[in-house]
Amino acid sequence: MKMAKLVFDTSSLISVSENCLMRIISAISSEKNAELIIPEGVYYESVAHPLQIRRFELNALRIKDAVDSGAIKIMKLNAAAKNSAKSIESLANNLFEISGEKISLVHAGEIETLALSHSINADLIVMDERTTRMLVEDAYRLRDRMEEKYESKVDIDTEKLAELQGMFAGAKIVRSVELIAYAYEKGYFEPELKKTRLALEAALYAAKYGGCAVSLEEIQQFLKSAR
Amino acid sequence: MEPSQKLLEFVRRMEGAFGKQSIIELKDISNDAIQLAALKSSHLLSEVSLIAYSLHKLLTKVHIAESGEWDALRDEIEKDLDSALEMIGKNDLKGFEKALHGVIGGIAAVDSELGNYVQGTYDKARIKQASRAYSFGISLSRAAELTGADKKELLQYIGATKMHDEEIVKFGIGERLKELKKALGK
Repeated sequence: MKMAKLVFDTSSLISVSENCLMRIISAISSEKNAELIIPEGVYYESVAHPLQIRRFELNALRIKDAVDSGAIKIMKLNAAAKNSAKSIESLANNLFEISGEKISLVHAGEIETLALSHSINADLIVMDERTTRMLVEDAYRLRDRMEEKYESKVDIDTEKLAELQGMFAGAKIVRSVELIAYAYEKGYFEPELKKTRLALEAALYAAKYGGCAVSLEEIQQFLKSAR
Repeated sequence: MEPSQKLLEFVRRMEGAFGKQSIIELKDISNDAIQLAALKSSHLLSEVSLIAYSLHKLLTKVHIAESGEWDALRDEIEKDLDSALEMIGKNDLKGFEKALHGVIGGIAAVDSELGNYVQGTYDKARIKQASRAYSFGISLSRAAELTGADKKELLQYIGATKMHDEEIVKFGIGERLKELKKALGK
């Protein structure tokens, strides 16, 4: 069976670890057909850096343990991925403009995740952050949102957008809430939590209030159909 | 490139508002400055925003305003704001930044002598205004980098807002879950 490659960004990793749900990561990783990967920059942001700050040490240790146990693999950007990163940065950060002013939307951390996903042809990108996800999935909606907030016309460079969309055609993005929903179905909450609807609901809300870009409506809609 | 003219305008407004102890004006200045900072990726505008937000916050605290030490601390902050204005007037960005750091030091001194919390006012301003910058459409990491906010704290702060409830959903949990199962071969 083909090994599924899931590339995580910092937001999703923090979200999962913050809610003491690292066992989900270990359980998915132990399915033997999934490879959970983070770029070096994500390791720095979620482990190496916060380990130096008392308030954030515990969370960083949870992620470090998952890396040390082999549940999460750190991957360096090779030359091709570095080239992809350059292209993504140039496209994403020159895509929108207001009154001739280009808007620098995304940062090296998010770019690294996208570049690695692109270069290894990842099956899924795991990302709780909203802007980068919308950039890949629906740049026009992101543009509309920015127009609303800035109360100004936001122009899109359609050639750059086409190129960016070409790089991520078919890319699938999931968030920590989908990992939680999957873990619930598979019984991965146990033994810490019983497989109950209440446990699912609590875990989904915890992810949302931890910063996962998911709406209350989405959660409520999903819970209606969840068994 | 840092927008010197805008910086001058904002610091002038901020100095006036702080002198008048106008809490609402300081907050408006902070919000206007972070909006422009996000658009122009300007760290100095971001610092101006965070300072304005911190000053607004300090002025809302009765125990600070009524303390005997406040007058002297406020004078120090005003001196540094004067200096910042002078530097940006000369287009001396290094001198301007140094003067801004003097103001930030003044805010930290107020926290240290009169504050009740471990986390300082300026650090809280980072989170608050990073969240605002994110709401304008820049990414989480970009917002964190612009303000110096910690990403984990920023995520939690954003999670407590209604920001993500305002989005129109393209793919819901059910659809994304299907993709996850497909990838994992279930």
